[in-house]
Amino acid sequence: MAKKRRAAILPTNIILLQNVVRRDPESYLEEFLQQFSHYESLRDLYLLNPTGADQNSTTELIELIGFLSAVCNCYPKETANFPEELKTILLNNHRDLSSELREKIIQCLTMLRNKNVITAESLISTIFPLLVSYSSGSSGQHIKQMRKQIYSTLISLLKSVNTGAKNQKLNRSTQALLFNLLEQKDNQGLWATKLTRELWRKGIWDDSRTVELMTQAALHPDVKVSIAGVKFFLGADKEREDNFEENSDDEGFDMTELKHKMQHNKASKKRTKRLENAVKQMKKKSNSKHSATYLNFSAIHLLRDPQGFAEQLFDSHLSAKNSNKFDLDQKIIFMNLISRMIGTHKLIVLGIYTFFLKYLTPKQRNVTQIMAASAQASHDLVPPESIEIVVRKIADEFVSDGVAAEVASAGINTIREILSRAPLAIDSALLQDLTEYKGSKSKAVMMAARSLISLYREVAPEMLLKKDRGKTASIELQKGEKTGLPKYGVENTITSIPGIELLAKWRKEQGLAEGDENDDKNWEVDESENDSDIEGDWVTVESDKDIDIDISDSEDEKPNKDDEVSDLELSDSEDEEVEVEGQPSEKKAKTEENTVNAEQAMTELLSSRILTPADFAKLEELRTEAGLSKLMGTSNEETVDSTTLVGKVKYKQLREERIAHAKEGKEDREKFGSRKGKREAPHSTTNKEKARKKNFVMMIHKKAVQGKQKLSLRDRQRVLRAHIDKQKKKGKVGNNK
Amino acid sequence: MGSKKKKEKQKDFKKAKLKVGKTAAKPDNYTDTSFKSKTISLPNQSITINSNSLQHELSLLKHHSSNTRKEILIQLESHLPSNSSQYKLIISSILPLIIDDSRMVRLQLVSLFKKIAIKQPGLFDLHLRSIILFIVSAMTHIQPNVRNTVSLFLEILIDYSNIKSYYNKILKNYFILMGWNLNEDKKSISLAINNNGSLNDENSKKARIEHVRILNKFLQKTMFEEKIDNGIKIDVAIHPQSYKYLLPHNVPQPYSPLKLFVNEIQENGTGVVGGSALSITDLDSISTEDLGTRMKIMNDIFKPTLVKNLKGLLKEGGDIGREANNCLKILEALPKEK
Repeated sequence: MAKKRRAAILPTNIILLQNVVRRDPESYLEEFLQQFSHYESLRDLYLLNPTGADQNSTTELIELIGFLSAVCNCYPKETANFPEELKTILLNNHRDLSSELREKIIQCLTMLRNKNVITAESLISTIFPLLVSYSSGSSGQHIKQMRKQIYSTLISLLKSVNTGAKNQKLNRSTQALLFNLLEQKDNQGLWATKLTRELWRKGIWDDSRTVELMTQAALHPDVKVSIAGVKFFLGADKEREDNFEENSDDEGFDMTELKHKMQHNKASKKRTKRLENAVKQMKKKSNSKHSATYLNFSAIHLLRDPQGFAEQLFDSHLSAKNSNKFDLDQKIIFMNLISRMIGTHKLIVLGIYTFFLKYLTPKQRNVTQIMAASAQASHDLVPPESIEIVVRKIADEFVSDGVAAEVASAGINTIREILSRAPLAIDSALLQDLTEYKGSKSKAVMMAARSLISLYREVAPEMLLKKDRGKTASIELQKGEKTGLPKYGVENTITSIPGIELLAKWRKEQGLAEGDENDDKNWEVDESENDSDIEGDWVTVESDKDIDIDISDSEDEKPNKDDEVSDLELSDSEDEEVEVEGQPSEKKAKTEENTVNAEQAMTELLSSRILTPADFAKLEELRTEAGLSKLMGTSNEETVDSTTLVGKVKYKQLREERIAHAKEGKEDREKFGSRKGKREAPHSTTNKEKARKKNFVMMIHKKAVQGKQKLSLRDRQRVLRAHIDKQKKKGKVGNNK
Repeated sequence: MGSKKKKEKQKDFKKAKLKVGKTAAKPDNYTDTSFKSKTISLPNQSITINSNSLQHELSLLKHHSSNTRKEILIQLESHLPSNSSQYKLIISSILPLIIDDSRMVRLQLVSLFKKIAIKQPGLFDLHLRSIILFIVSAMTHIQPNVRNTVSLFLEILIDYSNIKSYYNKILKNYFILMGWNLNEDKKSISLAINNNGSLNDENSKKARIEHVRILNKFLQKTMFEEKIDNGIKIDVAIHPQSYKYLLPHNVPQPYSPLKLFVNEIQENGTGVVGGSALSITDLDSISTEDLGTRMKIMNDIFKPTLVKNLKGLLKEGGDIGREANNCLKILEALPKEK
């Protein structure tokens, strides 16, 4: 009986056969061998005449290849050569194969890889050559499709081998393939950039080797490849962040809600399963988020030789004779990248400043972007002379009475951006010329000039006109705190903790005892704050050169020095030509006393005790109170947005933005409105309240109520008066019970 | 309303504001004169190429209706061209019909094959490789009715062509066709299933008789010395054994098993017939032009299972038993190991 039944299901189509073979490989060996032999004959037929094979046998062959690769792991001995055969067919005949067959073979090889029949290396070495073997000219519909398939196969393959621990060996070998691809002069290198960018976006490749690959691409002679490489440096990191944010957003369900539901709903298998699934998913998500192997370094930071790269890029793509193959937009992209690198790594590429000159005219298309690049390219280690020519050119071209207000504001804003990075790149005459625009009728120009003034009040008030210096800067100058311009090449070094004198003063005022560092509470670190630091993305650490430091330096050297120094003189020599004006000595003494000497404060404080985290928190608070965090903290890594150079960008706010904006000023204020029915402290109902709320019908016959009717006129008057008085008092004193 | 109209009117006289870094807007009367061109090619509607009648007919061999295919085959058979140059085209387009779904078409194809073989002797030798491949493909086809008619094609080849070089391939696939297990070491569970499966069908039963009959023919043709009479008497005395060391004289491609000039997957194998016993894995790389090799292959690999399975058929009796008996007689007549 059994035999007959089995005979009845003797398969006559491949799908059925595949099903039964998988269930019972041993019994169906004969059928399998028959199909294997059939495959062999079809394969030979196909190879005999790959181009002219008829449709039927091709579809049959496709079916059989699918079947064999599906059951191949059931008969490892019989099909030992099968993967090799597929590979050779694909590699030798890929031009002749019909598109369906080619697609199927690639698909089957991927399947075999997933079943661990072949290694990932061999799969890559088989399909990678196909990706680049067709020149872009010959691309038909099928070729495009195939490339897409191979591309997505490669991506998913590399993703799967890199989950958990990274498979560095495979990554290396793949990157070596890509390096080789980039050595060729044609535009096939585009695939290398595409692949790398996608893997970077997914956080699969995030090492300096990957970045090295993209530097090769950026220096490639082919326009498309090099543009793709440069765009990677400019945009890939943001892309990656967005990608990870997107992933973290789609939670889709609320864990607490589910758990709550579980408590109250009737427990059923389905519900328990749902919760389990949710927990599993949650765990998976949190795991992937905190994957230890994932590094969040931006591509520009991972460059091995930024100086060399920037120089090469500038020499080959911007200043060379053959750079005409790039159009203006592409050149702007190059300028943007080079200037970004110069700013981030503080590189010296002197040629670029004169290069900018050619483009800095108001009529130039996209000149704002070029201006932004020139601002990014300046930093304090570049010789001021180099940047000064850029500043002068911008001033000459953009800032004059003859140009439109918009142009002038763009010019001044750019100059401000440049000078905030390299304050020495202007002489005071030009600066004073520019600050004259603070009286301009155009608001944009006026604002731009003012911002320039406020910048120099911080950096070098001596260079401003006297009336522009402002109160604080003038006082500082008078006291001699501000001496001299910042000098080129002199790095600001830290000798103290900024604001420590404030802490010392505060401690003195509070009368805090020494030795409270033993108190455990002061050592507690705020957990939540720290968490946010870790989870947050790239934390920009504020640049070290805070202004307050040179205050303390200069102060210490010449505490008696008095001010009213002409700024021009000071710029030449700061030490010798100190004009001393007769100032009342008592006043001087007073100021001396008031300002707690920072250096002293530090030595005093630090020699006596250890600063606790609580101290640091207090320090931060005091500093913000004192308004010490100054404007100048623009870090080098910040990019300049070209649209803001022209003026303030106005756009219609969304509703949420408007609400947020309105809320901004009233954070600690309570909501306006009646306090009626609201309690200050939580408590149960008082007897008075109970009495007041008691049902009227219950009370109507009580003496207290009935008696009111029978009150004499005099008594009634008295009660009324008392009530009025009470009401009045209530309003004045407030409703304190 | 009025203010709206006014605004619209004033709009025409407003000067467009220039922006820094942006190109000036085009004037109102600017006309864009750039254009793109595209071409469409319709090769099917080409008017330059006249449809050749033969070509047209052959293209109908891929028609979806089996009747049309059959009609075309009948027409081809009655109007076979005398010019041998056209046969390449015909052969290449009729070959895929060996594995056609329809039995009518296949039977019609058999008669066409026979006609061609008679009309153009030696033609099949030229196309032997692809014909054999199609036959083998049909032998291992998953549809039983395709397998059933395959031996008829083989018979024509046996009669009119030289198939010695494909001895291994055919014999090996014959085992698969019959459902015989070549590897004795394996448990032959599925053997029973296979036999039963094919026995259920009346057609298959008849076909098996045909298969065994043609196997008989095949063995007769390949296992015995052919009588060579070229009609030419060579006066020069030749050593009687020297033909062993010469190139086989009536074989078109004596070295084809080496696969030197063929786009085919290379199998690993020595290709040398040594003294030791052969195994199944060697089969693909051995040239079977000479009788000695064939004999050795038969003795080493096929004979034991062949005899055993034929004896099984003998027990079934009837027509199939008789044919099996004939085969057995041939096998017994073979000389033993030299």
